[in-house]
Amino acid sequence: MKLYRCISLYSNSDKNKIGTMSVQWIYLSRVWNLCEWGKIAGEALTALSMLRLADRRKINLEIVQSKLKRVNELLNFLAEEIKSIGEIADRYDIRLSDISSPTLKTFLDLYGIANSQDAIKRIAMLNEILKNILEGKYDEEEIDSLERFLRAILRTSTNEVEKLMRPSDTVWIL
Amino acid sequence: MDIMNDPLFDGIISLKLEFQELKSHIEVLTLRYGRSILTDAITSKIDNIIKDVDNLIDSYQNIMQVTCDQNQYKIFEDRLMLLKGQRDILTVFFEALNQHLNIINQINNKEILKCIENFKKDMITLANSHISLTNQEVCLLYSSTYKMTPLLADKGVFIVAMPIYDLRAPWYWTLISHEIGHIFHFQKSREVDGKLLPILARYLIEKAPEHVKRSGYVNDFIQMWRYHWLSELISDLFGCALFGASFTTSFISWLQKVNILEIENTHPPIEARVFVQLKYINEICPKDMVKLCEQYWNTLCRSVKDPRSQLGYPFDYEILEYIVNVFKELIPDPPIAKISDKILKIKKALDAERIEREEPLVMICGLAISEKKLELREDVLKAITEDL
Repeated sequence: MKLYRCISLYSNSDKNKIGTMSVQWIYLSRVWNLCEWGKIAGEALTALSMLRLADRRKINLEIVQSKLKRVNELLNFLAEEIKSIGEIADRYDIRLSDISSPTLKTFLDLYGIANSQDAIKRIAMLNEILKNILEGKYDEEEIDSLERFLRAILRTSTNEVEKLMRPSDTVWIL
Repeated sequence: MDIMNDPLFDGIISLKLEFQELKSHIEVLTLRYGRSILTDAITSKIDNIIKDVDNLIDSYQNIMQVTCDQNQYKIFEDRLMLLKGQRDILTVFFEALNQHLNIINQINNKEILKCIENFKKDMITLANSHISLTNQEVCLLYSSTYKMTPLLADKGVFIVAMPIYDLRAPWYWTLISHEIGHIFHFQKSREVDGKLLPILARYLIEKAPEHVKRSGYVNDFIQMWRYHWLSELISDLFGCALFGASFTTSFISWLQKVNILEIENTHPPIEARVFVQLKYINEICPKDMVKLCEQYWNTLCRSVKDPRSQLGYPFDYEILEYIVNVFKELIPDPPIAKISDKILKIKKALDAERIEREEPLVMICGLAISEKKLELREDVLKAITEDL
């Protein structure tokens, strides 16, 4: 039996297209979702920068808030995945990041989290920070902390998407 | 910062033009071939992205006029890159749509296309108690292979494709049901994964051979099951739930190869895929259908399989059987039960070189398992198209 080292979760490295029904298009939608998470992180990062500039420039607070609110979707997505694989990882003593999607892996690695309880706690902390920022009760440290998280998510999404756009790995430039 | 002389800004405003260009091509297709739910869905997706690009332009102008911070610049670069990724993905679907529309306009025999479209509709009606398509439609494109994407699901469309070269091989049309199976898995993934992933993980950890444990492959296998293999097996079983032997025999014929035990990154070995189908068919189909599939599979195995080799970790028979049992709970009343007798009757008539009238879907399924499929293909298609 052939053993394969882990392949990119979103790419199709099979050279033999015959026999691979339905593969490529399914990846495209996964890559699309990865782009969407990255965009949410990127737009929220820009919104935080706008908040910092608020004393120097007139900014549209409504837009800033709407972009920041979408971080909730990202945090919920991470929480859902933790719920789905957390029990497996905890029960069998597997490092959670070893069986995570690239987005969740980035989050776990950023904070050095190995189990689902710690991951959920960290998500709750980020939720709290986000709530404070949205209510205008934030301090610089909180903005820095949220920025760190968002930057990591944005970078991972971009790296993964760039990897998939390279002709050697790509699924859509055949 | 001089934003008018910045490659990043040029890139962003060019990207907006590029999306507008893509949209105008969709409009040309709409003018030429008519409006469809698919053109509307792609257009709506492009409109959403154009709004995102506008937002990027606004934020860039707001921020870069005040600060030249390198970190800010990198954030905008990354945002641009992600939007470019989405541009490339949408272009793939524009190309697919363009190719599809060209194909259907080039084909003289429009009746065959109508036959396939009706087959798809009937198949969805057959499956409708198991997939939820209240506000969604399944669009079938003619393309390079069998595939599916939920990319436009938020716009009310699942895109499914079949290869152009199978238009006149109606027994392969049943393979579209595998793609509908991906829609089923997409909609039920939480339930399916919730029931199966913990068991799969336990199996993969507890049954891992020593060399696999040492080399650290166990987690990779968990990932592959989670992201690829489970979805393929569920979709195969869904195909069986709809068409029984008419799916499995076409499946074997289409995917046959010398190495039936080979594991692909994205697909389980053919032997594992057929094993689950045979197990399932044995539970839900009449004996004649079971026998037919087993004989068909054994003919291939006798020629290509080394009798000493068999499936093993990470596709042991017991875990495959477990998947079949869970699938049975997911679909307690498989649609094939309603049509299997009719399919077998049609097959019997075709084998005797008689063409009996039935619903087109049943006739195609009967043809798929008939010994005379090659000889009677045109006659069956003719009988179906006469009723159109």
